[in-house]
Amino acid sequence: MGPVTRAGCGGEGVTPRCIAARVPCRGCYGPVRQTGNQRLDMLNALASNGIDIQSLPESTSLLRFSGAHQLLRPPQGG
Amino acid sequence: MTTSVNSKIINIAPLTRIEGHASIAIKLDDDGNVADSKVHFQSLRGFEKFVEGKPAEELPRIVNRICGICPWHHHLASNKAVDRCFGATVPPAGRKLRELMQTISHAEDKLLHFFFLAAADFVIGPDADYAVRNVIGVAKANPELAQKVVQMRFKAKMMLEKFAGKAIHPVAGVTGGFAKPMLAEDRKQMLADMQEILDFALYTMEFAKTQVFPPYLETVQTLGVIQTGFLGTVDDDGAMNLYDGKLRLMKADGSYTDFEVQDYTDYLAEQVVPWSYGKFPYAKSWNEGFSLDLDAPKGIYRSNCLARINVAEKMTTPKAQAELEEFRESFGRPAQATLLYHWARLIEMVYACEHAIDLLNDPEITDPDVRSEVVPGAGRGVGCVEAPRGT
Repeated sequence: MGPVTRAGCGGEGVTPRCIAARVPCRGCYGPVRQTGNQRLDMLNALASNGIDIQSLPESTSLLRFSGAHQLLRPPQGG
Repeated sequence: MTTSVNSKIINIAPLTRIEGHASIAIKLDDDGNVADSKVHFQSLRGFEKFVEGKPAEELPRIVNRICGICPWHHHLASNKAVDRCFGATVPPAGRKLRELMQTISHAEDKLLHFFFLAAADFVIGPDADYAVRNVIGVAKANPELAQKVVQMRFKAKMMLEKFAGKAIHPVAGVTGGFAKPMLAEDRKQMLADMQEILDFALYTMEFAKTQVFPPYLETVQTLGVIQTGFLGTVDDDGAMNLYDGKLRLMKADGSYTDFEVQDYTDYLAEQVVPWSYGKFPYAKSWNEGFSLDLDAPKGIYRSNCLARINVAEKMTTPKAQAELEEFRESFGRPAQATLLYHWARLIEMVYACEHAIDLLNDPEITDPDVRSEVVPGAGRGVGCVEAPRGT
């Protein structure tokens, strides 16, 4: 999921898990840009490829690109 | 554990040796004897509702989140339902790979359940303080064995992960079959690993029969014994099958009816109770209603390993068959003692290991034709497999 995640779920140089099973990647676990907005990135990627979001059979699942990672903080006191 | 003397209700919350969230409320009468007890499932899962409107082929990747311990069974049951809905035919190799993954998953689950969840009561003893009567206590009592258990479980989990990408939350089962074929070298390695796990399963069976169960045999046959029916999957010959077959619904007297999974609503129904989020399936076809009365339960059947062992005529593998015969000679058919679930679980572990090896030895398992063309369409499909703790 190039537009949204920066690498697969195993990190750089590791085959993502679903790809290892020959199942397409849906970008659920890969690392993302800390300052980015995943959902916006995904919508931009669709739009710039001429895909109308209204034409998708089901778009609610795109909410998995929610940007919630920005709410994660390192634990206090290490 | 909190005890409230005034209200005469003992609440045990949370229950720790289970998957999920539940508590038990035990009600005492004026003399301090148990008057009633209820298990409360405390979490609403909601999967039935939030999968509505999703593409059907996505379901196997969504419902595998129902459980982190037995995701393969949810994954494959939903795959079978979608296959049926779309009218897809799974090629033999695809079916066998699915079954192999599920069978390995069963094998490692038995180790987890027996050693991590159940053994403490037997090894440390039922009267021991609960601070030591747990998996850490078991590990301290027999560190060498505990290490071996963890190693064997790890090996099985890694077999699944290495071949299918993910050991938990699997994605490799796809509508119409399996996502990838098995190569000769995968098969060779898995056969070697599985043989090692079978050896440990046989050791565990013997260990349990000689060192774990004997002091408790009387307790096992008297504690928590209820008379219920049983449900499990069998093949056309009546042998136990974990992946596919017809459902056999057995009454407490041992008589039974077989039916197709697609027709299950003619035989089973669900009861909703006000005190638990868990729904209570019962045997509608017995026409006796639903009652949890312990002395005279109505419509109640049990599933899971003891049920499968009870409904099956036989096992398809030799060592498991020998264990079944020995079990049946001692405890009859159907065996009703609840604690015999542990014994039945170990028989299933031997079966799962043997059956996984049979599947790996099948030349067809490496056939590259693992997935058929699928045309999505509206339809109805019911999918069912045997999960470690239920049908």
